[in-house]
Amino acid sequence: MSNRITRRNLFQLAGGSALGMLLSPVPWKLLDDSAIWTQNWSLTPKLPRGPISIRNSHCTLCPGGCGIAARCVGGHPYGLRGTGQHPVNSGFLCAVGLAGHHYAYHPLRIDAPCRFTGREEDSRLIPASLEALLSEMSGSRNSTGGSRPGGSIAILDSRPGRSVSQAYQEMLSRIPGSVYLTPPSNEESTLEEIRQISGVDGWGFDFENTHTILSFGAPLLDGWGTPGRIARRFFHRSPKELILIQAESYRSRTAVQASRWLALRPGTEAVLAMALAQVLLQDGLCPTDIPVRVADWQEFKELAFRLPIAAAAEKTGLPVSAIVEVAHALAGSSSIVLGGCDPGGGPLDRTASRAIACLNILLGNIDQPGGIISRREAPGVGLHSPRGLPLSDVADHSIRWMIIDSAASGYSFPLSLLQHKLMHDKGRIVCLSPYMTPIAAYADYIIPTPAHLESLEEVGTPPGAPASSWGLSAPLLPRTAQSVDPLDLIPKMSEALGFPGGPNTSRQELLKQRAAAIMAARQGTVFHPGKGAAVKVSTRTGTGDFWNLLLEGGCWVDDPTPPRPATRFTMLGKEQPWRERLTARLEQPGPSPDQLVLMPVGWKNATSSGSVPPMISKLFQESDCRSLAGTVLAHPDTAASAGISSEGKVRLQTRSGEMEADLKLDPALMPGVLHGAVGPCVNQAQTLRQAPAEGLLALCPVEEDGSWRITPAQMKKA
Amino acid sequence: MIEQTLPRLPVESAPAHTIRDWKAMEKKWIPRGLPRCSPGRFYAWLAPWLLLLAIGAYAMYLCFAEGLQHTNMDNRFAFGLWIYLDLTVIALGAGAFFTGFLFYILRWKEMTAVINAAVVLGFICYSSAIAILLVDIGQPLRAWFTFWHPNVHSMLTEVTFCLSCYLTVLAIEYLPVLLKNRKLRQVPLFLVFEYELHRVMPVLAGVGTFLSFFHQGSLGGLYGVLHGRPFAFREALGIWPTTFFLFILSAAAAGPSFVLLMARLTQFLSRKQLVRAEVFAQLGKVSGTLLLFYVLLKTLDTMLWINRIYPQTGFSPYSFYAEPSFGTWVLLLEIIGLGLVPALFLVNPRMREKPWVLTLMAFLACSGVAFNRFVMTVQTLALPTLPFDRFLRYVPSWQEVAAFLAVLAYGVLLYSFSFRYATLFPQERDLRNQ
Amino acid sequence: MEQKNKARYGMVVDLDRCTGCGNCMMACAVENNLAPAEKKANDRTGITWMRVYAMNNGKAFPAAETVFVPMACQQCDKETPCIAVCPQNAVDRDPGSGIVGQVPQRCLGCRYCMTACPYHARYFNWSDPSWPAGMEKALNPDVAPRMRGVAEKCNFCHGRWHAARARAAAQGRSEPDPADYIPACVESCPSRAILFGNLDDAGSEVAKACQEGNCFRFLARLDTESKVYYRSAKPWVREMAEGNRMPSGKDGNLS
Repeated sequence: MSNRITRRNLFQLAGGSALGMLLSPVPWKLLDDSAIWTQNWSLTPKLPRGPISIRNSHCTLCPGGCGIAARCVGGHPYGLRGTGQHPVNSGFLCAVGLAGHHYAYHPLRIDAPCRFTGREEDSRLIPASLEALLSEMSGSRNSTGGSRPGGSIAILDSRPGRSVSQAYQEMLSRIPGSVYLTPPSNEESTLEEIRQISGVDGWGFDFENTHTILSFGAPLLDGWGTPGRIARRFFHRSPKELILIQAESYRSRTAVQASRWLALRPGTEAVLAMALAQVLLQDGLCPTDIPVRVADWQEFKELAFRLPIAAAAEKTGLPVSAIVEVAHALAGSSSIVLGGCDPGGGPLDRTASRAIACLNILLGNIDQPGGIISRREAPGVGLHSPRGLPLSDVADHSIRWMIIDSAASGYSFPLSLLQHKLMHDKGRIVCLSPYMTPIAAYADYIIPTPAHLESLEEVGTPPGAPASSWGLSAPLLPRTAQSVDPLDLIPKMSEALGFPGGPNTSRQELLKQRAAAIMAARQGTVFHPGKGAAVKVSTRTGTGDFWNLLLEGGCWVDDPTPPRPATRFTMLGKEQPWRERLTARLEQPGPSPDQLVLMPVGWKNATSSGSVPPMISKLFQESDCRSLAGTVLAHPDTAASAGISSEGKVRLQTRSGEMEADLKLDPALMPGVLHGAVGPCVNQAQTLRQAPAEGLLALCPVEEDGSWRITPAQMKKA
Repeated sequence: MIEQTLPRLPVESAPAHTIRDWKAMEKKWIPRGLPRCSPGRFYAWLAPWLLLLAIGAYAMYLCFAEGLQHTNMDNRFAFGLWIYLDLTVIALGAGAFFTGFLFYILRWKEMTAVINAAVVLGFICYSSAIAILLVDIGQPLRAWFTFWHPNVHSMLTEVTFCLSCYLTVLAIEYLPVLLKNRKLRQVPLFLVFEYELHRVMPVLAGVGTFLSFFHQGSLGGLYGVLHGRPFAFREALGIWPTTFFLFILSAAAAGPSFVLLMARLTQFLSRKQLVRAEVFAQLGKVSGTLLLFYVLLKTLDTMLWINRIYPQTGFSPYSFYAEPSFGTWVLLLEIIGLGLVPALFLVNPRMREKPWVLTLMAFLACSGVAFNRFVMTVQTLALPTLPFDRFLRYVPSWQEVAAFLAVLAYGVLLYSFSFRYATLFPQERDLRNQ
Repeated sequence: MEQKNKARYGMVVDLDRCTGCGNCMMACAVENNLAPAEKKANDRTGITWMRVYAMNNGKAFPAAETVFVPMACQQCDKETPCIAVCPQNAVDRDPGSGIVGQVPQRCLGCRYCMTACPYHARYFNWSDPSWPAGMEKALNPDVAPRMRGVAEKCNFCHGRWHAARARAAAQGRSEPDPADYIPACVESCPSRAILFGNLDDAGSEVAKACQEGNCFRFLARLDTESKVYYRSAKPWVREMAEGNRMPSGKDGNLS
């Protein structure tokens, strides 16, 4: 027998070892360990550890002013809820606010000044230093300061009324020809018209005591104002106490919940409002003192009777009986008529807003409980009115530098609006934003500002609130090193533009001054989040305590403002431009039945202009809860009239351009209307390298009256 | 000394440096007296299948490495092509257990002609089913949890246990077929092993039949127990829903047809007669009789389903067939076109004598079972349950199709090897001599 | 398999109050460490333990009516479809609360439970869940993230149930205070459309509400005894929900 090791020996050894191995614990242990590995592998993240605490603050994503209670682990927030019993939001947030603590980790977070090389699809993101911005500003001195209307420096302030806003306005006041702009406020459009009609400022909606609401498309139950406040009024009491009549063409979430949905033809809001006025006048439903208080009563009356009710019914697509019933319902109890619009669709045209405001006056709703009540400003608001010029009112091609403070995203507008206001070639946009948004991607300079919950902010009176309020949003997260506080930027920009000056105090000092002013006025109550109750301001002693309470999520709310005695009104304005406008609107022929119109629809805080937390993809992308941007909803007959029988890709065309969209059929929609979903970029796979697209708003040209809600469109199969 | 007494294994004996030597060596592996094509031609035939196998292996790798996002299955269509494939190949693989049952238990000697082929086909079907199941589950490394924490109420537990046990049985049944290879027989150990296996084979066949009966039934029960899916749900006989028994019967009916079909296909491809016509006719007869019986019970079951389960679950009888692409033709095709028609042809002795009728009807019978499995898996999931649901569509991704084709390729490869190097059809030699 | 529960937690969802705002979905996703959508995710592959569906009466403009239906796991009590089918006991019902839970560490991802569930309330991790960089710091420390290849679903915020029980134990009580155990969706609903509590506690609001005439369960005829009730004053909603569906039309709407 030889001692040579043959191949066969090796095979035998291998085979024997394999068999022996099976009898040992080794393979079983391996099997077990591999299964345990699948439970602990690095592909699933490790959970944060640390002491659990709760910190109260305020949400600053929109002007809603909601109190938030953050559950924190090791000081980092991991869950938000509304602060219980909070006087503004009653302990409720909106879906976007619930994930507010995720903004800091946004995949489209900007961490250094930058810009895109162009406005084409293949443009690249390149660095753009703050110094370059300031030196270009300083180089442009000679061409600024011109006398053209609208000015050459503009600041678009997304959340007016803050101390920072005051600093912006102060800076602009030193620069001749500059202009302070505010975004379209859908929510307060009716109040703005009442301000103009009455010549008196400071109004709020008394939803808490009203019985009937007629809403012209205001998304009352879909994020309007402070969602918690509206929900408290609608749902935390028996719903029978409140009648909501929703007039709009789209069966919105509010229309679904409304006691009555008036399927109004697009663009006929003014016609319906004037028809309702006619019924009120005809049936003697106006309070007797109103004719005396209205300066131009006869003119208005004539205007209201200009269009026969039957003609109005035909124009609006509503039966005469519905118009009469609604008018009687409004007159029969305390009521509010409010205009507003879908946040995706931009503002309601001002002619309609004016007619809606007039309707409130006819009903005697002004300064009545359950109507539109007086609201005094919070103390210490400063020299400047929080109201700026609407962007659409600025002269075309007049702005050299457009500075956009776009931290908030509760509104949207077509980028073409910006483009038209900028000077040819020389116009520059500076966007102050923590995240890449379509507006930021459009800008020449993007300066990163602190993300949501990263800096000390203030929250003022929410839109439509019955009383003024003020609170602080104490930072819950540390600021990133590269982010720039807009307050620090103001003196630098002023200097670069040749008008040195600006706030020399820190943000904290500025806010402390405001708190002291409020404290000094000794009015209102302050809410204590720890106790879940409010105490009178006068009973508190130290300003320091007040400040600390505000830092801990406290909120000051003003006492109810006493009604103003017999306000007088001029319905059609001093120069009477409204008579012509309303007449034109009443006599305007209706759209031809075969003409499709495109109406953008969206959701406050999640419109295409702003940024949304990545988790919002659950609503838009991973379910049908909300329509993804680029979706077009239409009645099957509407699609059929365009020769389309099934859902899928379609091409939309308006006079602004052409775009591909996803058609969804819904027999519940009004025939002839295409509802184009305007939504945010929700996908976390989106990276900074690619500029987020504007979406369907690009197809909506801005009309002369500053609206872009209704655009004639064509649809064909893609 | 050992080297002298023991025959040397071919790997050691042939210094195959030249193609001619290699060809000569390869020839020694082919059973004596069976003419087979040249190795070049044989390996050329294998090449495309190997390619498919490689593509499929890549698709499977993607699923293992990055998860099942590579499939087009989703939360609503949680089972897709692969589960359909599993159910179908296992139903067709029933040829192994049923032929084994006829041969070893009922002692039908004429089944000798196809028993080896049936065992190989069974082994292929079952091993590929297990392989695809391992890809299909989200955590293959935890596949053994079912054995460790079994839920005895779950039909899938029954399926898992029976499938793995029966695959072991099939592997043991397959061994003698391989070990009869004339080169392998030169190893005395293998010879002894093979002899011993032969003695236990009837026991194994019995165990196999039992296991097979059970898991064919459990696969049927898999859907029949889903009381949340009124389309699939059936009332229980004892603890099993009727689909349990219908699946056993339909698999037993389709199995012999599948063996017949595959033998015919092998004859066609190799251009040789491999099995006597009487055996084919016999297989057809068994298949036809069982199929007729199945169609009868299936009809009865369908009537019960329409008149009892539909009304009880609040669904109107024809709501399940309201979708134009899945109309009542589905039911008619399944029961009549692919059930009653082949059954009637196959039980008719005169029709059975015509080879093409026999082959066609065997094909229809197999298609009928495949179609039944399709309806149970795919249509069940496509149909809405909640009032706001829609009829769903699902199209498999390329990865799913590639994995499916890889399994097919694996079957072809294993069958081709078995056909070349083992004796799948013992009558081949006699038929050739005649 | 049927076992007596110490408590039977359940919900009553008032569809007439639901505005479809999506708060419940967001609160749930944040609370339970769901990952934001993957690039390719859609409404059929995404994970939403709580999902808001829109249900239409099938009529065309202007007679169309809609209700929003928030739908999570219905917590079936009788022959719970998913428990019965799971081959390795990765789905269980907690005898203390009656909550049907999923054990992701034991799940092998066969998805049989998902085919068994008529409510489509079960979700599968088709890929590894991933969060934007740094966001793992914002994960809820009380809820273990799931891994690829396993099924998951609503468990009535089981993390909160455990926390409430721990607090009760610390105070020397055996059962948690009902006010102390509220799932995230219930807490976040601004219109208070979701009532939550112990169905076996005759005094609880939820136990009373589920006895009311306009209360119903989805697919009640399937007899799964789900613990999530709905209510609506609209008869068409009740008729459709309880399974008296008409043949579905081409577009999936009722004709």
